[in-house]
Amino acid sequence: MSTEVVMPRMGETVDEGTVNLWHKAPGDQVTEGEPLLEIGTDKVDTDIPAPVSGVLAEVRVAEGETVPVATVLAVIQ
Amino acid sequence: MDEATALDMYRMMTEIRLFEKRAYDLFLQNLVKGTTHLGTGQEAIAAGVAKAMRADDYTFVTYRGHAHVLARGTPMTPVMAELLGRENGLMHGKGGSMHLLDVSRGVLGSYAIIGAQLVIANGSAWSAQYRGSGQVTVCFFGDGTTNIGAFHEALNLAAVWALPVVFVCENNGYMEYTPIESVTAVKRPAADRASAYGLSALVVDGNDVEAVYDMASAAIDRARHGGGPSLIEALTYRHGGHSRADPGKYRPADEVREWLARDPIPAYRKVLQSRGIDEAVLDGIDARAKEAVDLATEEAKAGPLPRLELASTNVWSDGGNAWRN
Repeated sequence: MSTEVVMPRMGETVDEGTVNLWHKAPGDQVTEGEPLLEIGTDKVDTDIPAPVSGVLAEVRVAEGETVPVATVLAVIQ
Repeated sequence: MDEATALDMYRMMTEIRLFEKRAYDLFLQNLVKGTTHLGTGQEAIAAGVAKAMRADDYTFVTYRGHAHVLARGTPMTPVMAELLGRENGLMHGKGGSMHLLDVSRGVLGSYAIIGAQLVIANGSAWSAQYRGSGQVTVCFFGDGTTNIGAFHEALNLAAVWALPVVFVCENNGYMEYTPIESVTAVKRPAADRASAYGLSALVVDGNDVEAVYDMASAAIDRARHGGGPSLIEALTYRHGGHSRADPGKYRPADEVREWLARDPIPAYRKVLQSRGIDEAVLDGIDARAKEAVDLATEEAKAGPLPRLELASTNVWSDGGNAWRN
């Protein structure tokens, strides 16, 4: 089963976010709740935790890229 | 503490914790509409106080109020659906996380204006006093509220009129992003001000559900029998930030670690086990709580978005919006 990690909406007026950095690389084991990446918006910089435990199968947005809310950032298998 | 009461408080805390964890997951999936404020780490206050209340007592809460609504017995599905802005939500998806209300269970509202609910709580307490109904009003608020004028106005009037109301300050150390001690003239923001209104200084470990239950029981009993208001300061800590968008990085790492080690739920689990309660019983409670959260999530997600015609309903308490002169 795979789980997608999406860009969350960090405020009602915030429509996009930037991937500041990845704490994990593709192939890494991740544990539910541990920081997966840091995102930045004009409102706040914050860590996004892994929603499930598994292997980080795909990283779809590179560090420094800004994408719209709901864009798939990563897939955990 | 009898076993049934103890296990029920453990159940309440566990359900609240898992419900809020799910709310955060759903926020990250962009399913929660509007902002949310989680009380992760503060569950013992909601459970301990609610367990000490009578079914017809009144509750007033803040925008950080999921726990208190669930603790009064409101089912998870309408609360979760409200967070998701669905028509099967408590207010048909029109209120969201910060405005939960369930009059049928005595929850007379969640208030996002700091301090607003204290003066309104006096109103429901006065109503009960006037009717001689024996109902007690419990009003929750945060530490920052103690620096708001309405806190002092409400406490004074409640004391003057000996209203059947219990004010509970959930002191989690931070008013939004500001350490409460850096902007407050006294060490205990609520308790140290109690004497100004002729009240006792009551401080309780807000992470000890039985201590909270005992103190709330005494205060509620006193209020119910004409003894007037009480002001309880419950010391606690929120594990996360102020709101969904706040990583809470302004808090010292040592402080966060220290409070995480005092998490009220594993602590109470240990207490119950030390009294001989079988781990399987507690595991069963955990498992049923998770199932309930899963079911509520599915039912909430399956709910439709509110119909447009609902926008103008519930303007008045009769459900309508007719113009009144």
